Amino acid sequence: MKHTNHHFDTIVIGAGMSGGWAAKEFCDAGLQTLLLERGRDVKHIADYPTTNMQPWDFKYRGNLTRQQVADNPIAKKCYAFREDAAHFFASDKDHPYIQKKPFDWIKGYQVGGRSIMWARQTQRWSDYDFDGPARDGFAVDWPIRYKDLDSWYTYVEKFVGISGNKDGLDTLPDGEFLKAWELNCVEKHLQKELKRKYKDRHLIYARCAHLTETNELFQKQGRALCQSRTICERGCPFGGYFNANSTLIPWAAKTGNLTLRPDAIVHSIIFDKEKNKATGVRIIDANTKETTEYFAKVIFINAGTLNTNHILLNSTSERFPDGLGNENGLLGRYIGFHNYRGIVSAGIEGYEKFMPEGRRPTSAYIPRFRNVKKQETDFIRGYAISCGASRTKTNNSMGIGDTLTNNLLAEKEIQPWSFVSRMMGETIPKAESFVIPDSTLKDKWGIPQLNISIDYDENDEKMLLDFKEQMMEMLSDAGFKDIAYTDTGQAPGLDIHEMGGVRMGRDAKTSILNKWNQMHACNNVFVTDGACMTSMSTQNPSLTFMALTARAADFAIKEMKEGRIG
Amino acid sequence: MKRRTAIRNLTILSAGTILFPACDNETFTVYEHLPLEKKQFRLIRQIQDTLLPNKTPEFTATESPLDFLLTMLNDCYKMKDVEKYMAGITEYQNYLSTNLKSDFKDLTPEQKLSAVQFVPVKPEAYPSASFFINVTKDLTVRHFVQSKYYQLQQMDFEFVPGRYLGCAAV
Repeated sequence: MKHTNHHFDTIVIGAGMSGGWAAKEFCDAGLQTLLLERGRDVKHIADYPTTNMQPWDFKYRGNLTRQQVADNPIAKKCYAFREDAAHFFASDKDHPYIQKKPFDWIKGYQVGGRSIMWARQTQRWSDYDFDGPARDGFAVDWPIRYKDLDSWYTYVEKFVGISGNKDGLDTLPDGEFLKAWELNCVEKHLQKELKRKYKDRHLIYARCAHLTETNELFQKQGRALCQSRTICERGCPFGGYFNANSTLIPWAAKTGNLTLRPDAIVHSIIFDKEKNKATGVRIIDANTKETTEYFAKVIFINAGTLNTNHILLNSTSERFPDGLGNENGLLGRYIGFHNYRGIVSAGIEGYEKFMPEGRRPTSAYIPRFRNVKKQETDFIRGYAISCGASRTKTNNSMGIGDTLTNNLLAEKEIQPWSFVSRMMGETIPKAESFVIPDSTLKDKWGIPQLNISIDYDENDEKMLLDFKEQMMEMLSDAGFKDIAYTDTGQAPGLDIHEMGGVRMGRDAKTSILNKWNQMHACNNVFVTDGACMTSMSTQNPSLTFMALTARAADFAIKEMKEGRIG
Repeated sequence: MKRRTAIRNLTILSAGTILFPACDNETFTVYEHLPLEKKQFRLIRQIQDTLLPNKTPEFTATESPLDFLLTMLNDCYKMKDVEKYMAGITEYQNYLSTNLKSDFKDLTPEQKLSAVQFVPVKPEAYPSASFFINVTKDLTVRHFVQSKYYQLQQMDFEFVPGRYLGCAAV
């Protein structure tokens, strides 16, 4: 049917990675879909203002201004918040929140959300991940296993385009891959050394959402091959990497079934006690502050983990005084993230005659090897490792006058190989890791600010120490030198992998969502972004969010057709 | 009358750019946090030319080394560093007048080199002036090495490499 006035078949809140997938699936199914986005519209290519700027074209040569630094004490900590991409980060000044405990909340409020600036890493989960809570006794049991998601991973990977190798690892199942870029000689060296010494430690090419081959589908999407520019966070004019702007939203729009409404800050979900279902969404226009209501049979909430929690907690009614679907007091709790604090760097000799040429938008990766098949350490769960080797040319800026000029113009010095590895630790979602709307402070739209209370725990500290010991030992055994460890001490959040708070589970008493990402207590509301995650595992989570979304949308469409929801 | 009025008024060329009219027709951009006199603009420029004589004809950039330096200072540096830079110019001018009894522009090339070399090796005697010279050098070098010419011709920068070879021969 055609939507009339403010009535639609489905409403999707959030035009980022997972919201984009929900919108695409609904539009493909012929459903009139309203896609709400709290930020401005960003059209593919047209709204990537810096994408074709050369380094020397930037007024500050990539640096931030003093004002940008002052206005963004949190965002400035993100590696991608630079002169070329700062416009894709929501200003900390304009979007305040309360840190009961230090938490670096990196926000991207625009159509496309953080999919514009994401790191594009796409590793599948395995049953070692889904089994985690039940085996190790934390959170609640996932209501699904790998077999439930396998075909949806495939479905998403075929549409997104994932570059990778088939590695044959049970810890990191293979998928539908386009060809991979090379590992370099130092990475291959460590790969070989790990294989020689360990049965369960593998250095592989990190799978990523880049087009290294083309096909009819990608051409239909209007995307071309990745050109290895490695300035993805500006948005890519080739569509070489996947984001919602280049792929999902134009696809959904072409169906004629999509209504995109940017600048729409969702205040709350409207719940009808008599009908015992959600009937719509109340929004505040970001610019005019005018309140509007939209109505639909089914609502998908994909506002990004913390904002999804925020919207639900703010959706209070007589039936749900503590937030929509929150009959058990669990909403907003059991939030986790990834522990990225540990870094081990090193040098190596023996490869002086080689160096990389060109660039590669990904790295190497060591899947989790700790506590995989049985408990073997004094902490539970484990960590994956993102790593890579590089070598650079540098100039000599010593001296002054003609000496300096001559030094700068002299043949460049090739630096020794440098290897860097970063821990990606699984954290344990706990009741005491929570978010809650603040009782006093509000934002400029009159919505209570989110109060965040999330922290590391003893398990994280023990895991960090183990990463340090194991990584240093692996590198030492492989002949690396100058091995150094750093604890960045960074707050939770800077990993930009916050998850949970609206977790999936088997039981309405101990979870908010069922195995289809559907609210136990309000069956026409679904949550399929990071908020739905029961546990965190170690892999970059966006691929799993997308697979869960496509799966849940398929379920919702069938349920609507059968008249069971809506 | 109209001409005189126009000369009296500051000339606004483009957004945020205000030029001083001058008898010698040389104008300088006004930077909000850098209240420089014309002779100080010229001194910085002369020091830049001394620190890094640019004899490369292919070298081009959107802005002059002076404007890049002052833009970065004005917009990006911490205010305490901006203030220290301003204090450093004055301290350096005092050093010149006390020790060399001459304007910088009137020094021989060798004397200019000595004059920019001396202060940074005496940071305890000239803390602000040392900072001034060091920042001037740093930003002058950055302007040079981040230029199109330097990146393409000297660093082999490729905007669209389209490839990654993990183990290319050096």
